[in-house]
Amino acid sequence: MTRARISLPAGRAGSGHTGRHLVLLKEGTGRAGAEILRNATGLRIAVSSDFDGSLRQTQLAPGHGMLFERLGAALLHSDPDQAQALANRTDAQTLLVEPERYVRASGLAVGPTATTVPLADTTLATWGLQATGILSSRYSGRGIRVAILDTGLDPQHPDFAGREIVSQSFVAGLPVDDGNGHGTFCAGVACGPEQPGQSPRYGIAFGADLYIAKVLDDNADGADGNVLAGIDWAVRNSCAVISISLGAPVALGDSYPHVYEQVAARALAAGSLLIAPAGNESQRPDTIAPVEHPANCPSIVVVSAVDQCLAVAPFSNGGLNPDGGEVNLAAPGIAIVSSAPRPTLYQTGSGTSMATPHVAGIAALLAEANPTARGAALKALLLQAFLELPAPTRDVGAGLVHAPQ
Amino acid sequence: MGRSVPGDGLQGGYSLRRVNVAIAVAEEARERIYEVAATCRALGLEHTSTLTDIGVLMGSVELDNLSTLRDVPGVVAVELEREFRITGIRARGD
Repeated sequence: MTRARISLPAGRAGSGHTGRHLVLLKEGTGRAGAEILRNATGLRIAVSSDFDGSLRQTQLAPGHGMLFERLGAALLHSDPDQAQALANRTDAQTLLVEPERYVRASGLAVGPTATTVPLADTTLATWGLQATGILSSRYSGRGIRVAILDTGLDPQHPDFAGREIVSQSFVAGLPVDDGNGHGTFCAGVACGPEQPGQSPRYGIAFGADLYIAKVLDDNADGADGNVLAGIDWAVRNSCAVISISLGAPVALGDSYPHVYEQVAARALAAGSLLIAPAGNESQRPDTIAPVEHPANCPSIVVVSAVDQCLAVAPFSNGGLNPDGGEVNLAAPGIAIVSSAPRPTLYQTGSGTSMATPHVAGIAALLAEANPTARGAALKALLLQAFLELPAPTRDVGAGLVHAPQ
Repeated sequence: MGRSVPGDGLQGGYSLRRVNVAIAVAEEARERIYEVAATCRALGLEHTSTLTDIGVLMGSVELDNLSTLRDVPGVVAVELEREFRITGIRARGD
């Protein structure tokens, strides 16, 4: 890879930039990158794997930088001259230097920025489906297998009558029926009907084949054993999309679980994309909790939640930990209407659990639109399917997920 | 974070605390995952399931034997099983 000499933009906060700079290092540079950056800029460089939990990526002080050695990248709180000096280096160890942006600068052009999306009334469809461009999409996820790993499903719900549903319980002694409601809710958002009986439209991939794995009991309790068994089943059944609206808290500075990363990477290689919630442990603006397990694996797509004004939900966790703990996309996650087990039929909910199946449903639309894109290729397409949001990348990733048209 | 299973306690001065574990088998060892499982069983794994499509063994082991399992050829990671909860808050049924 050759690098052109570039003149960096000023990179000051207020111009869409944070005032900090991102540096991409040659693959395999490892910890040696800290010395390279130190010599080139004079900054004090910390290494992410030395995190002791007291340092937040977002609190990087002027004159400091952090090397994410696993990623081969660094974040520098440098002044423009220091960054320009680095950009002017002619060796092959630093591949790219660019200003850090509040929102991602590039992506598939899918329309206006999200702030200009008009939200009509919700008599025909939920606000979430309108904000993410579902109603005008020509795709329905037809022929795409979508797995929902959750508390199960009420298969007799009238909105799912006649649908092809394959199901399996991984909770000992319990059938796949949903005695909780969370699973039916998530399945409803990802794959609910085009024309529900008594509700505005709330479902996205109404043409998809539903694969329901009950991995949580009716109290919504479960453990790795259930979830991994559900992922194994979904991969074996060639599900292109696997939505898992559950999580377990992690501490600031925690790395991702290696078993899950292996599993998620193998799922990608087999053509299955895992999508998981950032978690609901934040109490903004005072406290922001890091993205939870298992979403914090690099190979899993992480989803945060926004409200009807497209502002970050106060409970939504943020991308505080490096190496997979970043938020990838935001999706509607407050005041969401979806299906409920009989006799209730419909319910309203909030959470990154509700945001995650919006992304899963849109991933199914993308899979239908791009028949050869599976696994990592589908993930790459999904991460380009967004509208920009005026919020930090830490909180919304690239932006608000948006359906292919 | 690990979920303990029945049998916790001390016996003869040794900890018999058993923990549920997930064991990731290396990519190059996935074709012989059953051999890896047999080796782990011989080292104290109470083996409950083999997830062949994702290359994972599930089971429980005495806490003291965790590091032994990590040294088994073909094993890339051994982690304590975590408990999950849902990440949604339902406001009401309409």
